[in-house]
Amino acid sequence: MMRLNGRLCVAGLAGLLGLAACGASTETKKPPNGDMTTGGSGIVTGPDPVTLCGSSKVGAPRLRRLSRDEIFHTLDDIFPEVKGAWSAKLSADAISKHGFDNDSTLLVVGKQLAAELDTLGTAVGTALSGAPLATALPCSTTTKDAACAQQFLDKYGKRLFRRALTPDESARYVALFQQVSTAKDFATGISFVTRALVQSPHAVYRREVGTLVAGTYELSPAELATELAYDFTGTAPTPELLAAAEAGQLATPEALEAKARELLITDNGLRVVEKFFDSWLGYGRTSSVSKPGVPEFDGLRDQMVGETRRFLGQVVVTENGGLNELLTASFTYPTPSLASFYGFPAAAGSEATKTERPAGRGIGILAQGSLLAALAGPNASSPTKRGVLVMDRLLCRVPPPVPPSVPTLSPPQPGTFTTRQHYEEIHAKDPACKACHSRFDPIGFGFEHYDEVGRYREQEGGLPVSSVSYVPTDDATAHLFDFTNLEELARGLAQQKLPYECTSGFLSTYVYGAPEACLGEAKRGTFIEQKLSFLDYLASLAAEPHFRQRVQP
Amino acid sequence: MGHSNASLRVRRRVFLSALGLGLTAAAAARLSRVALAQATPASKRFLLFYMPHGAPPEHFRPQVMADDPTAFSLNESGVSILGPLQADLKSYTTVVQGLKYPKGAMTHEAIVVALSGVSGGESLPADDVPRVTLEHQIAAGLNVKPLILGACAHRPFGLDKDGKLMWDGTPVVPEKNPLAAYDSVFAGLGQGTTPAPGPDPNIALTDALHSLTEAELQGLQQELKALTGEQTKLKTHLEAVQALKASGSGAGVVSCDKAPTLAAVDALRAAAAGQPDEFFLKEENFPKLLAAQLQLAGAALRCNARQVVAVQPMYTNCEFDFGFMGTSGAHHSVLSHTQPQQNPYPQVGLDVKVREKFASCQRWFIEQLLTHALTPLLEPDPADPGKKVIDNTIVYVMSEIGEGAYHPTATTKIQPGPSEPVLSYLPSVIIGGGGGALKSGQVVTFAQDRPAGDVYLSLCQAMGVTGTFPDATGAVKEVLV
Repeated sequence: MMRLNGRLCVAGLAGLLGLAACGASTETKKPPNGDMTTGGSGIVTGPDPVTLCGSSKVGAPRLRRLSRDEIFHTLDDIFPEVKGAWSAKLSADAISKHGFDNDSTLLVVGKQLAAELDTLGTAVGTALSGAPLATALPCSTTTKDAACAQQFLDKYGKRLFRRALTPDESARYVALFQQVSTAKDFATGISFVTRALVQSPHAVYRREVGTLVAGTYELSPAELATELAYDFTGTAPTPELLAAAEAGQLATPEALEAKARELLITDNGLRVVEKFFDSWLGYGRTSSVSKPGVPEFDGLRDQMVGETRRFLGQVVVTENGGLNELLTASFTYPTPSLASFYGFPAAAGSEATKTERPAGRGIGILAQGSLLAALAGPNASSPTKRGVLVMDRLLCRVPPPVPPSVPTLSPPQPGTFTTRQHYEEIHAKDPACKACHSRFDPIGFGFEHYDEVGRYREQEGGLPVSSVSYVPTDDATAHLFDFTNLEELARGLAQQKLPYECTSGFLSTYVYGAPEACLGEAKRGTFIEQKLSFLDYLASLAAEPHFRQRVQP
Repeated sequence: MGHSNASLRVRRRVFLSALGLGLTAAAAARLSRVALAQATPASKRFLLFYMPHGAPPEHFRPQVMADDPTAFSLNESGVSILGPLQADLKSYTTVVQGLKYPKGAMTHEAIVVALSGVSGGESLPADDVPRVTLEHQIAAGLNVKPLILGACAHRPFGLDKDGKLMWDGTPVVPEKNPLAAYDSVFAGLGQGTTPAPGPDPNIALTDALHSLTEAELQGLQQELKALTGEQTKLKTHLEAVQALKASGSGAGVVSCDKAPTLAAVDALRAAAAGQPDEFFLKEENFPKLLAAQLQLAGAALRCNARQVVAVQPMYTNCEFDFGFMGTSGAHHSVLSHTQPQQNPYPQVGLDVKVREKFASCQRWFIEQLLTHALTPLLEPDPADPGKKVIDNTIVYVMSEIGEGAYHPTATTKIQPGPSEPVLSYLPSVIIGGGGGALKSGQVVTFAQDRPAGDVYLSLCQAMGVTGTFPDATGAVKEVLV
């Protein structure tokens, strides 16, 4: 199968991975409350995650195109008879500034995708119209006629459209079936119907439109079921979920929240949860990078990503933790070969196991090898990249644009200067660099005991490493707090309010895929007060007014 | 693009005659294809090659002798990034100097408008502003489907602005898997299939299918007409489906009678066997992927299996370490930001070679292009006896910025060292005869910057199609016959 199941990373962060220096502006660009910003480039960038509104807003009605991943999962779930039997590709989705592949303003069907959807539909239709047809459509073994085709539509059309087809729609598809089956045969007719259904706008877009009632668009039961399914499992609603919605069982915010919570801990739900963290933090990209100076890295990078996934599973799911736990958890999940690579005590067995980190060897997500390796150069650590991660993803401070004239980042000088000294000389002394780098390099110095592949080091090229530094205020004129190592950096962040404001903003942006901010305020305060876990806050977004209603801007 | 009825009759007549003479079906089919190729004027081909992050001008610009723009060397500019073209392709090469990208395009972000000429005024246009880049305009004009290839053309997790080089209304994602692309281009070639007489009956059925989708979109547009925010989305989708209905098969008259053997593709197929799809995203595979993509590009053009091909090796600020070609360091952050002679460590001496290192990386791109894609085009054109494929081809090499120290998107004076200042021009290199439409073997320099769209207009004209580039002021007559 040619589709890509690559994990997503954070485009906003990854867009900065080439950042060697930045412009002179020290202003944090904050848009007007809740409005979209063009960030100076003319490209719509989405809501400002950290914007706080107190009360939840309601966004506009919209059609949300399914992402590539959602389309593939949908087809696998609706056509299990041919799962693995067809092969087609969909090109990579456009990524928002926040790193998410589900931004409803960016996901459109252009010419390339239209052609790919046609090919995809053809592949699924061809596979289905072969031997599996007897299982998928039992009447095809006895009566190969339009009535049987109508049964196909009733079953699969409803799944793909997430609602029953209207009589007009049915008539059109039956007419297509008859034209094709007359020219060819019954199976080809079903194949063409499948092909058309797969690329239909009613399948490709999920509706968050509703019906206008007294100035507000009230989403229908089917739309609510669809929203629940895709937001919290990344795939089509099951017939049971659709039926529950139609029966009025999801009519209240409480019912929606409960259902969301239930869906989040399914396998599909956990996949959606993990995708958030990968998109937000970018650790998954480690699987595709090389480190020429560390030959064994290629054989371990996938294990590093696996380690982080197991860590997240424990913290976020098993322990139902929140941001504090994510930042300060004292354990990780290395394989024995990874444990050896990191210099941890030898692990028993051959599987990855929950391992307490040795003292002074980091805590929480910021010490994960996958993250450290992703946020480094090929041959050296990068205080800039690591500092920008914290600044952008945990403090929601918008990095300034790169200026046209970017001074040289000369190569590391092992044995002569440490990476930190190298960065401090160039970025701190050159006024053109200092204006921006003073905002994030000091944060990144807290990671300096970890090399480009996430291994702990006391020395770099024979020279002692220092991670004593601080998190600057937004304007870099003062210290928000000081730290001496990565553990203190992580704990310090966990004690600040801003990371919780920022993280909750990213969570709601991820779920809603909308350009408006402040859609998930009801429980946001509780999350900010560290009284709500990731899963509980995510589920609470189903109870928000925006989940059930829309208003025209 | 289907064959014309006249062409099909030629092919059918030759096929039946060959059978009548006792030839096997396979041999008769081969003969008929050759006959069809010879009956059809040689088609022009187009190849776009994107070289990310510009080129240090002192290592790129041709040395022009005695102010004669036709007397120049590509091999006497320091590292000589264009030097690989000197021996066999200099006479086919035109270097254009003095271009600018649209207003608002700055630094790497210029990639999103560099090939379309669309401006957003003081800034870049929003993503929902439609645009069509050069290679897609040429393909549309020829009614063929372009072959868009990339080695690591965007970040592994998706398409962000740093990878949005090519557009067809909306951004186009290059095919990153050379094996899939090869199979798609050369599927069935040389397997002895005989041409079917008459129109393909599936076309009518496919049309009916797409008409159904079209009607659904129109219905949605009507139903949701109060939602102005969604109308643009539906309009884009509708136009895409309508284009699908009208689109051609993608190929011209294929002049090869069997699928070509491409060493880089075969090697990649062996290396990728049993590997997950993520194999095609891995940094260490980049050189193999690019070699395969370029060999495929050259073969597709030589065989006329695709008339329009584009290759995007990387996204703008890709950080791949180029140690594989002998220059260690991340392409973007370590190598490409090449301000001269900056040295904060006087005790270790000046690193005067920093720009040479990056220039050697960029020269590697040109070497790859030459070795894998351009050398096959020096072979005879099967459809045009006496001519080489390159005589009927236009290759265009460009970048999104002038060079890496100042990231200019127009001509800029820089000081690369203790010698005289030099002008950094946007890389713009035309290679090929264009079927007799191009004047080659020259350096064209404009005293005042002209929009890059002027060159694109010229290339469209040379390809026999009409192009539209909002920044253009007129074709560059100096490059056209």
